[in-house]
Amino acid sequence: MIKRCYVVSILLLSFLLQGCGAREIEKKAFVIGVGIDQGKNEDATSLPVMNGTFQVAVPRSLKPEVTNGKAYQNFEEKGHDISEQISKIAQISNKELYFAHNQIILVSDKVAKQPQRMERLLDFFVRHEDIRRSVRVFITKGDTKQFLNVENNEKLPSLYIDTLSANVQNHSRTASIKRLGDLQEDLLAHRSFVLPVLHYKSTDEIKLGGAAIIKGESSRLTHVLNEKDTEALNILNGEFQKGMLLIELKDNLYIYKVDKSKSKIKLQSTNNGQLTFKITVSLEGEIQEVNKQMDTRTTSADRVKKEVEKQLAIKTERFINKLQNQYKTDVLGLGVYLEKHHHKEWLKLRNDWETGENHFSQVKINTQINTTISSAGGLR
Amino acid sequence: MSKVKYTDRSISAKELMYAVASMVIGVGIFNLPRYITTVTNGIDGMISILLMGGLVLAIVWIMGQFVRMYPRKGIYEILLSIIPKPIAFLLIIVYGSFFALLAAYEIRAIAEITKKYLLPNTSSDILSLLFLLVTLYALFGSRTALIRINSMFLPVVLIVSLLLVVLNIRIMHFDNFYPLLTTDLKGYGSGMINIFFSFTGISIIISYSYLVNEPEKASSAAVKGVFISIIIYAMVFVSCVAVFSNLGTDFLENPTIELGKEIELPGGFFERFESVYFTIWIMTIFNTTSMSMDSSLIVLESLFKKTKKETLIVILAPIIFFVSMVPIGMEEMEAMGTFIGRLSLALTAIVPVPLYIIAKIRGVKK
Repeated sequence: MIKRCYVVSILLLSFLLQGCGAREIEKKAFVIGVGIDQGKNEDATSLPVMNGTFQVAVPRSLKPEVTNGKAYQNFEEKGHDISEQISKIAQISNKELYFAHNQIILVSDKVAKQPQRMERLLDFFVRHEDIRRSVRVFITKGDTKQFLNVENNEKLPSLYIDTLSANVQNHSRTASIKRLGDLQEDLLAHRSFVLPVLHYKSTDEIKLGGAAIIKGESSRLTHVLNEKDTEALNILNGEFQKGMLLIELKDNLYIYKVDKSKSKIKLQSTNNGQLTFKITVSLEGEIQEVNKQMDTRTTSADRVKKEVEKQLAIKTERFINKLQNQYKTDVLGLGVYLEKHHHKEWLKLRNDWETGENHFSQVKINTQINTTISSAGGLR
Repeated sequence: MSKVKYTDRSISAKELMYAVASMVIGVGIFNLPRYITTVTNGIDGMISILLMGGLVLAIVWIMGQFVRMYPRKGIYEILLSIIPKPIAFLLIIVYGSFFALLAAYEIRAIAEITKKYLLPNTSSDILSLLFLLVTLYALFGSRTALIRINSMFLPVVLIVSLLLVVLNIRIMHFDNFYPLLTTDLKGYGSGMINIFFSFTGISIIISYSYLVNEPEKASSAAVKGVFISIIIYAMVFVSCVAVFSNLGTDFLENPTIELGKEIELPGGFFERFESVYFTIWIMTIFNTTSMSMDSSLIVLESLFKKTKKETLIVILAPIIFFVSMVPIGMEEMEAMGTFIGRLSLALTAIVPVPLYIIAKIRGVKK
């Protein structure tokens, strides 16, 4: 017993040993969001110039009694890379930029469209000891500068975007939020992936929706999926939690809300080099609303279920078709699945998976969708 | 709990177990996952860890059996009774310098890492010096106390290592373990050699054996101690692969520290888990450093029997500090680490096993 007490007390004491160390808080400018835009080349170098926006929180103005005054300050500077911009900001700012509490990184679509530009710029954030790998990365439609000036009930634009991404309930119309660490792993492995997209609406509103496809081979943004396609992608990737589907049945509108979503990829056969994949999607959810006359009965859940599956099949099939023939990019994770579970086949295919012979476009993808309706709310 | 018990100048087998575990876990753990993932695919590195772990366990067992034949005898006496004096003398010098070198490396490495993650504005020379001074404070005291401090620190280290894994479960992708068994034999082999550096500490069994009051239990205690460290290494490696993926781990300088950085707990105080975690790792590195310096001291003491311990410490400390300042830049640090790893491999391969066999054949001289 006494021994145990010792251990506990040592553990507690050692927590006290830590602290903020030598970092003097009042000499630091806490960066909470970073935006990267395309700049204009002014000097003779061939290297592209970037425009960095660094949003710094001003803690004084965050107090409730201070009503006027911005709670943030945006530093903007041109430079070939982040470090150059920071060193230029050091000439303006009286405080050192401190990145440990950075929440978001915004990359404008113009920057992301340049081959490898994004991965070269993100190196700073992955390398820096203070920056966490849990920083969230977004693609913005248009310059990031305007996004970092959006002010509403949230005093800090970066915090608004950050909390916006946390509130993806009731819809699944955006690509799932990506952590910087996961992004780095995908870029390292040259995998194609999707990032969520932000749209500028007005001076106090930003909309989150859609998905930007980053192609692994050139690591650049190739296409931006619309919200419908993003939904289909989320269904196929098993990331349709909180998603919602509208179904028309006998002139009434049924709203099926998903609670759980799973998907599983399987390689079915490899006859004569023709790969056949099967994606099994399982959804579990409830009927949230029925747009019908009050006195009519709700159609049987079985009927709704069949209709949901039918419509989902059409939706996903259309999307797969588009992906294979138009976008030619494997964001479904088939390549990753092959690499992990059928390594020998993958070694043969990997060089021409999305380019050249484009094996991804030639594989057959079958989908099977299973839905469960667990409840229809309080009405019969 | 009687206080009288603690005044004796010997350690129990259990304390040896704690000491071995603390000694083995040193700065090596910060880079260990990267050393493995550079040469293996997926989670295959586990095989290297288990094979090397098994091998080290066997070596440690033999070491324990070896020192058991010479109860209450120092390392130099043991060597003298087996091999001719000149060779024994040479070997003991190598042993002593090896431990001094290891202490110097640990001091420098912890200073560099502290500078990088905790105190960016402090020069690493000052950090090394401060760490050395704390170590010296421990050395001036009683040797058994130095060993017993492990039984206090190790449980804390174990709890924190467990937390490191448990709190990261949320962001682990178990799919990262695949593909399975795609590494070639060479990969497993170099993985094993790379891991060996993290087992450098096992040599203290020989230097501390004369203090153990239950020599017949020394073998199993040492094996248990090494087993604890193998479990920690395996845990850290698996979590690194699950969190960062094999390729991601390969591209990180100190994956284990990054693993601590990944943890985010709600509530401002614990949000930055890495500083807690870091503080506690410094505790185990303090143990490793002080024990390896102490082992070097034991060698010196056996050579200069008439000189006082304090005098020897005062002579040894500046040498170690000087050696720790020799490597310039990260490349040379890495080279020093590799050199120590190879030296340790050579020492463990040459000394305990062949000597054990010779001793068995010739019998113990009374």
